[in-house]
Amino acid sequence: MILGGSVAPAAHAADALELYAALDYSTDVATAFTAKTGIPVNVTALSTGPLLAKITAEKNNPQWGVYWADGAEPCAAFDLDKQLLHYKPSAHLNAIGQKLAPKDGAFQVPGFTEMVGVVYNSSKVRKPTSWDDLASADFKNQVGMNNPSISGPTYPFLAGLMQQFGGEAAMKTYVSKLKDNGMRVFDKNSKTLAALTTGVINVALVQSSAGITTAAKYKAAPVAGLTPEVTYLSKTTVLPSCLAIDGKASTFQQNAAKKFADFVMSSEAVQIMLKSNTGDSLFWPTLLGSKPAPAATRMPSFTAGIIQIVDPYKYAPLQGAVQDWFAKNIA
Amino acid sequence: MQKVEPSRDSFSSRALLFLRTKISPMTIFWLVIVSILVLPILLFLAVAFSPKLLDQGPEWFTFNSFKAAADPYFLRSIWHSFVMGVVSAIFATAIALGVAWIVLRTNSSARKVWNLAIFALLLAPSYLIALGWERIFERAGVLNIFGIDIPFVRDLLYGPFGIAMILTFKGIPFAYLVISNAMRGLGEEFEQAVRVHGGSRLAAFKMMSTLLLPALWSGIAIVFAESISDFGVASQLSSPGRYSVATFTLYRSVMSIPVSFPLCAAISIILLLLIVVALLAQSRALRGRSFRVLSGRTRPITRQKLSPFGSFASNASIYALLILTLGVPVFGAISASMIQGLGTVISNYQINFDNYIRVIKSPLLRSPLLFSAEAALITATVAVILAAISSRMLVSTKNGPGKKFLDFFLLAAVGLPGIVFAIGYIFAYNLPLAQRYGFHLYGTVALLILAYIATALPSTTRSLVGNMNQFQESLSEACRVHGSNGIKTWLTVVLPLISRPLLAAWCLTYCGTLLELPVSQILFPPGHAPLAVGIDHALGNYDFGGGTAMEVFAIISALIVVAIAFGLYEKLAPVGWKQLGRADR
Amino acid sequence: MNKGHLVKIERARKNYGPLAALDGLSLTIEPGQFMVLLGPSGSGKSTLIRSLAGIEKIDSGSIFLDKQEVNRGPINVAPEKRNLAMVFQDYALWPHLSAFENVEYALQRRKLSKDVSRTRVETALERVGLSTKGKNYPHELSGGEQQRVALARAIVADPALLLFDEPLSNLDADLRERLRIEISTLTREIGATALYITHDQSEAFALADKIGVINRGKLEQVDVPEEIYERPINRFVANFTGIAGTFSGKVKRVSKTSCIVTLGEDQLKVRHTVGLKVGQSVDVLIRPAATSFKKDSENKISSVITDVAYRGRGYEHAIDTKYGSLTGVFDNVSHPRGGRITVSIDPDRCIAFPTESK
Repeated sequence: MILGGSVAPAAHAADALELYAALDYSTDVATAFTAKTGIPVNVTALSTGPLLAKITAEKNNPQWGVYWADGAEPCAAFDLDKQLLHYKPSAHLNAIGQKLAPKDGAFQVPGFTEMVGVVYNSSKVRKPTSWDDLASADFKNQVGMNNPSISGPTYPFLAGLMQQFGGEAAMKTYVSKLKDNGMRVFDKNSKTLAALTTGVINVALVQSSAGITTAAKYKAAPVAGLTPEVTYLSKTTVLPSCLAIDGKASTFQQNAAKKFADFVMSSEAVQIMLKSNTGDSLFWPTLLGSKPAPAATRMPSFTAGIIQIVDPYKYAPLQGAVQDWFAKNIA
Repeated sequence: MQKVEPSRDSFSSRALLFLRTKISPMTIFWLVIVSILVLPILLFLAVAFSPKLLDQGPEWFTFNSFKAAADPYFLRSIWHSFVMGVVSAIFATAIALGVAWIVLRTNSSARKVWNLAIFALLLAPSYLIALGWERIFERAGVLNIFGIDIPFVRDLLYGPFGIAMILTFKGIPFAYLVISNAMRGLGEEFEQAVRVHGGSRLAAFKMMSTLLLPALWSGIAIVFAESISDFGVASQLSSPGRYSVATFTLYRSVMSIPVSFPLCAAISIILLLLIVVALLAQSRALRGRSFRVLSGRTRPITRQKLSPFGSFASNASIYALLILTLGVPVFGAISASMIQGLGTVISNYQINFDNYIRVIKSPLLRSPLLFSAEAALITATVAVILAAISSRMLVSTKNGPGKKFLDFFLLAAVGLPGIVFAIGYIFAYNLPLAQRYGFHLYGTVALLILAYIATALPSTTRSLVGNMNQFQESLSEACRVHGSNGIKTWLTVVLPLISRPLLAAWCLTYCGTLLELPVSQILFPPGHAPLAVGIDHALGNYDFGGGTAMEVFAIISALIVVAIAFGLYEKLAPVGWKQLGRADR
Repeated sequence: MNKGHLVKIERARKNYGPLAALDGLSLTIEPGQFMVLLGPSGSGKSTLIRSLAGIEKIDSGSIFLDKQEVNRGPINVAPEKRNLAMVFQDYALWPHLSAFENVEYALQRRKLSKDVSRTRVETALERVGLSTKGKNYPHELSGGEQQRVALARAIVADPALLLFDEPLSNLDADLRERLRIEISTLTREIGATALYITHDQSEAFALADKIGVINRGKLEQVDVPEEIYERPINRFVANFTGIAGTFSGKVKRVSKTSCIVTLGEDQLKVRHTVGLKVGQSVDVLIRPAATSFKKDSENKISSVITDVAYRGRGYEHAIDTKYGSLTGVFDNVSHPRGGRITVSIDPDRCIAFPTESK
């Protein structure tokens, strides 16, 4: 098995599409794509952090063709660096989709989740009603969130707070208040939720898909004293999953990538993603006419004003400094 | 399997032909060392000064990254790492010395248990050890269920004390392997000489410790470097707000979006300077003395018979140590993989094997396990051979530049966390130059294995240095003057005489490679996910029960391989090999 | 049966930092000759023998085995290609091989059949008196037995050059003599050229066809043992080849080969090998064989006995005189400690050298 692989890469870059993805359903989608078009796909599946590290390290000789992960800021950063191939698939998007996808086709947004779904253990605490509520005495030492330096989806949450509260300083004040109220920081969704299920915290601020998965799991197999439920506070920030094409890739890669983007923005692919039985499946598609997974339907409506969209181009340049501040003061 | 295209040949195949006609074994060795070890490290460190070299920034030469690294926050974490490294190194080595003495020089009955447990201890990932302790002391942990809440201990755990404690536990096996190998080769005559000149048992023990100084220093250096580069404990227990260590900071800066490799490289350079300090200390301590005591005149040891109290004390110490270092992480792993709702109400948790069954059936486990097992086999074998050569070179009395060079790079490789090593590999092997000249190594399984070998080489080498130090030069000189060339000397005399330590080193490397994560994560070719990546996927999928079950499975499989390896050795190795340094039964 | 190498060393130089281990040393060893290099530790004899073996390199100079140049400066022919064998001070037996296997190992280069090989190994072990110990491992053998295995290993392949690196220094006294004889006879039996290094002068005299006295990387004198003993070319050689004591005085009268030296109230008639002048300050180096308690001698000095040692065949006395002490004064009967006695000194067996300026 090994020796076969050591002579040459699984398929030489000239022949296959290189997909760098941080979404669990990417392998299923890639398989279906190959079946449909005959173009082989090499899937490099990692979480966002290592994935971006790899892309950056490969900068002087990029290997990736398509990048597909949660969070628009990295894609905006790529675009500001003039690294992306702009492309507009012919698919029609729903209302939110039209707001999320850049007009110039810098990257595509096949779906989104929310940052954050507030997961609380209803056996232990009441439902939080607002951001300020989380900083109150009722929730002292009860709250946990992800570390934006390690968890890809988390910076958009902070960006949303910046937008909602009116700037970086205001966001910092709020987060510091949470910290003073005993908030703990964990690496990523899985760790924050693990802390919830073992009772270290009772409120977890995680990605909605992760939260809904956990709530569903304990609904199906109840454990006394642990009844996670998901709620959304005003405002909750939309977290787009984004697909970008490398502007410096070979012609073959770019052509294959465009076809892939088209495929992803099709109802066939959306169904595959929804049915793939992974945590990431609990998302809301942007393709016009598609419905999200049943478990994900309890989403506050856009028109109710609870959900907000942030401009990744505005907040991407601030990411480094914000994460730095967070690491030194909050984590 | 694709054939290499014939048109793209000229340079690399002509180069191969030239090499085949002009090459000596040592040249091949150096070539290998440079390409798998030196080049990736150098390129990675180079971007601290020259980001533009690899497109990581606009400047061709700058000190900006160092200015950023000189941030008090980073410097503090580096200082913390240093302190943790020193403390854990000293304690781990001291404990290992005591254990080695009990196990090798006395008739303590606990020694058989220890010999079995040592490998399990080596395998236990440091984060799992930390996790086990957390399970006990955390809010809603085990103690809490029994109504015991000790916040003071909990705070200790999440601070420098806890980190140092676990790094010490993690370091004990490394130090033990080095020290025990050296102790086996040490005849009793030196201790007996002390006793017959009126020295007490303690004085004899001190004499023995002095003679073991190279091994002790090796142990300290290894544990120091391993502790500095450890990420598992750091990620579990440390945090920037509490007691941050450099690896956590480094990892965070690699994983942060946007990532700044020049900054990481600058921090790494500072970390490496710490290690240079360790190296200097080691060489200063060993300067000029002769520790060459393994020879044909070395007789097997007679074990000391312990008094009843001594017996009780030594057995109790070993068992207590095992409970602390091994019992706790095992509990952590099992509780995490089998017991649900541990943090809630005790009467409601279900112990079951569901996770394990799921895991056997899942292709997500099987193929990564097989892949990693194969990779680990190859890595262990090649690394051990390279390590034997390197360790020989490190102990030779000829203080050539080659020796200092090798020493530094081997220690640097231990001190650099795996993740930055992996990035260095991308820098080195993704160069456009490389591809133009036909070196299509990037993205292949072969490169991943080379990286594994390079990651394993340093610790493995240092673990053999103690033995090599004892190896009397005249034994190989005798081979040469009686008609054997260099290679035959190695095969017939050098390797057999260190066969047992080699075997131990092989097992250590196998186990370490099997569960390796950071290099695997960055360098694995699409479609060939190594075990740790598979486990990480499961854990990332909020399935920590399944993920931990996979881990336990992997560890058990590794232990089986180790048992087979040792069993084969006992059965097949010539009598003469096995009786070296062995005590009378 | 002269099938040994002709060994020629020409202007060999080797430095360890500022220290010169070999200082332009030249030496020729005829085929089949048994050459002993005698010198104190640090004199360079180890360096020389190891360079000859090929396990160390010289900085400049040449070494020839027969007509083939095997060392030219730091360029070396590999040891395994020189058709030699070596007996080490620490025996260097491979601990993981039995005695039989140790000896057999050295025979592998001859590429003989298994049976012939076995026979030769058994013969070699028998020649050193260890035919019953073939299966034993080194740690099961005594020091003397181990060295004999090493000797068997060295001769089994009939090498053309045998090197001995102080092989007897780790053995007890009685073993030493026995093994010395074995070394002497076996080496001459197989006809190899031999280079033997030691700091023990009695060993050197007993073994050698020729002795080279070496000091600080230079050869002081190379000659047959009798000449070295009788006519040492300088003070160092004399000192190193067995001196009972040294008296200092002034030259009173000089002739071609002898002179009279005044020591305070006494005077001695002694030999000299370098030219001396009347009135020159000299040191008289006295051989042990020069001393006795016989009453009929030209040179008589009064002394006090400080120690008596029984030697089996008689008694050796240490005495104190006005001019210094002497050791090894032999007599068939013992004289008590503290007793006064006159010691006679044979003029032929003491040599005067100019006093070295401090």
